Amino acid sequence: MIVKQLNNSVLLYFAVIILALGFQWFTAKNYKLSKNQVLTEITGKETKITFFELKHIFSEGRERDYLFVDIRSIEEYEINHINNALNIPLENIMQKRSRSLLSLEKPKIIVASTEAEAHFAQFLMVGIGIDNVFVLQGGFNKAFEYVIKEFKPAYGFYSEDKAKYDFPRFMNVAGESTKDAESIVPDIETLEITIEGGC
Amino acid sequence: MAPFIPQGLINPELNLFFALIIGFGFGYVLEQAGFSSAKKLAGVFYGYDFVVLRVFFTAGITALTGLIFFEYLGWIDMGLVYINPTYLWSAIIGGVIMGFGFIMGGFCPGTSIVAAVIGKIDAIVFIVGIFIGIFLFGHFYNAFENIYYGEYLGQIFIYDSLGISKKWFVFFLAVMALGAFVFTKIIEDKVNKVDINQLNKRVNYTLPAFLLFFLVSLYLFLPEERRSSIREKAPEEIMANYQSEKFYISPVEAAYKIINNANDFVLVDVRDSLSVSLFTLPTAIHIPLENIFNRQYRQFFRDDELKKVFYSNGEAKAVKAWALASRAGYDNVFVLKGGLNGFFDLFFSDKFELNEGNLMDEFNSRFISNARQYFMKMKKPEQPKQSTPVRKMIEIVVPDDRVGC
Repeated sequence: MIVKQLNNSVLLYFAVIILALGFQWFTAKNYKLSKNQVLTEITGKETKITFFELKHIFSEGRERDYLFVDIRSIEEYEINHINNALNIPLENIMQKRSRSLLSLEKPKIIVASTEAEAHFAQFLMVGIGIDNVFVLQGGFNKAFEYVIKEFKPAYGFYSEDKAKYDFPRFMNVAGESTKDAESIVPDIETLEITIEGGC
Repeated sequence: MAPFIPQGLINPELNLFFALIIGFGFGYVLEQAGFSSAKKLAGVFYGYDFVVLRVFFTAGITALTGLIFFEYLGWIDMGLVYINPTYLWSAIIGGVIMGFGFIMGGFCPGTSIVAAVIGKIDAIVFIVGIFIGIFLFGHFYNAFENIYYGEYLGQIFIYDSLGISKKWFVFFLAVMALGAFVFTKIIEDKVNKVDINQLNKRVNYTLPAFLLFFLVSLYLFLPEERRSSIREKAPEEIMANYQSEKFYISPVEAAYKIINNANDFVLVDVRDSLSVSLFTLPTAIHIPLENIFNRQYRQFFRDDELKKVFYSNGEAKAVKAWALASRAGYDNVFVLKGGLNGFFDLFFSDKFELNEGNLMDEFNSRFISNARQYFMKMKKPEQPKQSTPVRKMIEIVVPDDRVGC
């Protein structure tokens, strides 16, 4: 009798797991990578292409080694775009067709009107399992002006996510400025290590 | 969802109450499995009764399948589950002592309590022995301390040490358990000299065994596609939120909240520590983007009443943080429009265009000039938010008597 109950409870236990797996199969979200994997993918590695690198790619004729993915709207794309760039407007990234286009082995460089949008597209692409995704730092308009038209080395490392102002000059609020004498002398903590044995 | 207590779903003070209930359940199962009998327990060493091995393997397999599948389904966060660290010497010596005690006394610590509860005198004697051991260990602890903490390996996993993947380890362990069930039964029958007629009357376990095998094989081939939590949002939903642009907070609103010390609004600086040590907005807290999913911030992000506004120098890093936080299912997260650059453009560079006659613009322009005055007059707080950097000096000491050669 007890043995029968045991058998039944085993069946019940496995049934719960199998049903839950089945349920997840049908309701699963479209991600390939977990959120922590995405976090390490987009922050752990260097995934930015600067104007300097872009210039190098053009001057060395390596455009074919990369897939430029232009995520601006079709109208913006038609006005101006990088040669051979693939136009996939941001709202179409999740579509099956775009996914198959993006599943190439080549490194992909996302070109957008703003850097933030390119990073957002990168977040989505990495999440749905597209690897080797890079972001063009600085956005397309600046890239067109400073790289494609005429290369200006002063803008070689331009980024929208760099500070435009010397913030502490305007708002003297937080952190220690370098003038702060106290912060220059660090606390010194001594750690003693005893080593043993010779040779 | 689970574990409930570290996630704050159950009050930590109820911890011991649940431990008590689980303890009762554990004792009951041990008793029902026949573990209150020293004869049965010692049987595993003489080959006439392997029930101990089978019960523990069953418990292990149940917990194993439960944990791996619950983790896969996003029902449990294994990052929050406490894992016993390994101290090699204490594990080896403790194991040997326990083995001797087991074969001599016929109980292990847990089963001795169970047997004592149902009134077995040998178990009561055994418990007295346990307490003598505890007393001696406590008394001579100083002498043992080096061995006790010796060879610390941290929280290691057997599959990492073996160099195989977790999935394959699960598979091998389950197959090993199934093999052990069959094999021990054969030994038992040999030792006890069971009739062949009796064998046919036994309950058939083929179906559960097959199901277990099926599940662990399935686990081998499950795709990596998984959710870390049920709250997780789909990419389409995040995309729709992104395109609606409702996640932007204007610098004017942020400045208003800073000036009025609003308590429903927190600015989150996601830049690296160096930039933050140079400048960060007043009232902002610092969470580097890399640490956004760290355990200590979970409580903060789960507070749905609070508006959490990410900002970086521009928008790029803040949008990344927003996308990740949205995916994790955190509500009420926003991005400061334009980031710090946008904020300073508005308040300090006279770029604001005033349309004469537009009432809203006039209000805004007045607010901006007042806010600028307010920000410029701000004094540095007495105590810097970040502590001064600590430089570590490492001094190598060579003991005189240990010098080699």
